[in-house]
Amino acid sequence: MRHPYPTEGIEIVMNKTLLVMLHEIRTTLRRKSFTILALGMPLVLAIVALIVMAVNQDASSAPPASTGSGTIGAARQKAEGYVDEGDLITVLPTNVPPGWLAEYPDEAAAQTALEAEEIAAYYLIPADYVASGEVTYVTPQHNPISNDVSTDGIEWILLVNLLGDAELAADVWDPLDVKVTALESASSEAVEESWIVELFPTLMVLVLYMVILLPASVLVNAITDEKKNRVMEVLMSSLSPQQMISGKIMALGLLGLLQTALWVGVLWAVVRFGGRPLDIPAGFSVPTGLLVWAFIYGLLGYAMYGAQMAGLGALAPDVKDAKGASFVILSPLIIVYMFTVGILVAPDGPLALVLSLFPLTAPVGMIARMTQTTVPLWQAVLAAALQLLTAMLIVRLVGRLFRAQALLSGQPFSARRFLGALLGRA
Amino acid sequence: MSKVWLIAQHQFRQEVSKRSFLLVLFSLPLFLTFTIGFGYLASRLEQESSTTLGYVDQAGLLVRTLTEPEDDVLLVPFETKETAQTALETGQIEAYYVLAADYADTRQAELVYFEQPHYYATRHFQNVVRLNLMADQSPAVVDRALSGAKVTVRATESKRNFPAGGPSAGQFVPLIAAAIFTFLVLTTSGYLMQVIVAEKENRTMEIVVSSVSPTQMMSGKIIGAVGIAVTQLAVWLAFLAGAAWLGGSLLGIGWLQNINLNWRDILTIVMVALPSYLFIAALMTTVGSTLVESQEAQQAGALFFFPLFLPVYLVLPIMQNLNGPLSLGLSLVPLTSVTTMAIRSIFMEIPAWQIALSAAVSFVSGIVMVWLAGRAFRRSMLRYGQRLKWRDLFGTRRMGHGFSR
Repeated sequence: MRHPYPTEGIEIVMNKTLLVMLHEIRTTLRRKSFTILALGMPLVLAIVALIVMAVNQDASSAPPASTGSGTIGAARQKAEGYVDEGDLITVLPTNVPPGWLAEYPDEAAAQTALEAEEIAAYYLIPADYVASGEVTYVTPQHNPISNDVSTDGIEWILLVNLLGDAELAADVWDPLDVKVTALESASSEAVEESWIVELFPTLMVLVLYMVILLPASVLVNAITDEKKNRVMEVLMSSLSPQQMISGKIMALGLLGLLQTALWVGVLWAVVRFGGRPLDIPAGFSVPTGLLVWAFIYGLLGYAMYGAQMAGLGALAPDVKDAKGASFVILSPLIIVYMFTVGILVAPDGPLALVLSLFPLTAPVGMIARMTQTTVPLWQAVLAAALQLLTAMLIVRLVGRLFRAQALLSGQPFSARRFLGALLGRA
Repeated sequence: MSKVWLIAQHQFRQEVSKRSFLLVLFSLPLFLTFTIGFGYLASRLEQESSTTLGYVDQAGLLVRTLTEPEDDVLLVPFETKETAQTALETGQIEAYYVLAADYADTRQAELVYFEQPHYYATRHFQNVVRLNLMADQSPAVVDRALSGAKVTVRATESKRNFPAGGPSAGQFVPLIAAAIFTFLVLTTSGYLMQVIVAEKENRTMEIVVSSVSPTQMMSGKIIGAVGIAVTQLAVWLAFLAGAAWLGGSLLGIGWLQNINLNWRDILTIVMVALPSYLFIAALMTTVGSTLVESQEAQQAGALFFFPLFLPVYLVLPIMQNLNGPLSLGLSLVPLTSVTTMAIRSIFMEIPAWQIALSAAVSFVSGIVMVWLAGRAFRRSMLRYGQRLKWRDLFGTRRMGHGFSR
């Protein structure tokens, strides 16, 4: 097939690609919707989060509603009652504070005393307590958040009366006075359990999704805009499809990295200045190697999915027609998200291996694996190489969509047209 | 009224026949199935890996072991501390206890490990010690002493029972309903914002209003949108009911087996959610009328995320003061009322007058917003490619020759 474009030197090819890239960056930054979503939303979220954290901090620092103690024998602040339907309690242990607990013959009497504010609450112990274990604590109000209920006292009394021996009950209540000897392991670095250690794999996966999906979705809009403005066919007289696609993919990739950096920076600022320090335990750090691979896989993943979305934008008459098809294109990422738990639980298993090597799932799959285990270097390199080849193949295939008859047809989008155009049959 | 109904029917049929509607319809059920299903699978896989603890019984106490251990913990006896240490270093055991020879007098024991064992493993060992201490007691007493009491807190003023001091699974159902409501608003937001924009792009607005009034047009479209939302909701609720039955009956998930639904709370959410959705749908339609392109309309829908999630961000102050001004205020604002009522209903029985007031405020606001949506539609006519400014929407419109109306 006669090449429609004149042979050009590599410098001219690169210049045109860079020109497209710079133009795309300028145009996207000038678009109000991008400025609002990319810059405005993180800032608004940060302000809302800081206000909410300040409000919540006031709420959590308020004195608790009651000073109910969880220790046995500690002085109780409020008088309480009990109804023992099975006559299990025959003796009160000597360490029970005097005046704390009063017995009532039935629930009606206890309820009357509660309503008259003679007692703050009462316990209802059924006749079948030994079999069922059920005890009801009746109180006018209860807030589970402030945890103002402690039933250690009544449980201690019940245990003493069940066993009939206070000394035995004390042994059963607290059987071991444990001296802990934590040995240092030669192989592992002990890192304190913390929220960031638990959430780190999920956070890495989420950041990768942002890096791949945010700019890819903007790419569809960028292509369809130029189609609507009829600028596309004018450009095609001076540029090759590969130059155009490469320039747009590079531009939106950079802007996507900027967006991601903004979101991560805002999140860090909110946690840092929101009144609660990050509380990162000693010994925790993000491995440099993981960050490097995450950067590489993020870019490669964006190249693969961005190119596919660009092709979608080239074929669909309008962005809303591309919605359903974009779901199909993104389905490998959705699948790997659903299997993330499987990867994290068994990072060296067959499922994790497949998802970390298959190009369309590798960007997220491999990083999820790397957060849990040491992946052999050859596997990481192989996954990156496969992704690079796939990205190049997709960019070449998608370039076929940027032909006049495909761009100008205005026909409704369908999967058959999309595949046919990719294979050069449209 | 028949024209409004015709438009509503047309809108409903047009939208539900699209493939994208089916995608959204099954998106939540599929997403929940995979996420929760795999999460459950992962936790089962973790639990099935047993923990091996060693022990050196210098006191000669531990004659009996638990015959039906609830946790998968294996206890291995060792003659001396040295042999237990060797087993620990070779990875045969994860930790070991040493019961001192004078345990009966001092209750002293030593726990040795490289990595702290799970709490259920140490709790298992403590229960074995307790079992042996109570060797002379009857089996029923021993069972009760090992299991402890199951305390339910009954709050008489808020008319709520809290098993083990915290809310039960059934008490979270209104919150799940509110979460579904929020998800519903978010998935239909893009579509709602495009209602007028789509008519503008098709250039059919002026033709349609030759037969119906703008208010009738917008009322029909909003009612159609509400119908679509109700259809989605019905499918999702049916799915959730099926999943709860499957999880409880077949998979044996404990907290799904004992869901006691409080129908008053569920009815509260329904009564508040329906007029709230009417208001939100009309609001989104009005906001969408100020936009020019479908793409802008879809993106603007994401901005409704903030007010809808405000009660979630403020959950702590709401729970601290369930009848305070913040909680009451958020319960009356249509955008936040559903989620706030759902959070409050976990901890208290919401008074009937508050439910009625919230529903009334949402309903009246919804009617006003529908009227405003009709006004927006009327003022959008012949404004192709032009954004409808807010002052044009709320202000008087100047005609030619200096007259205004």
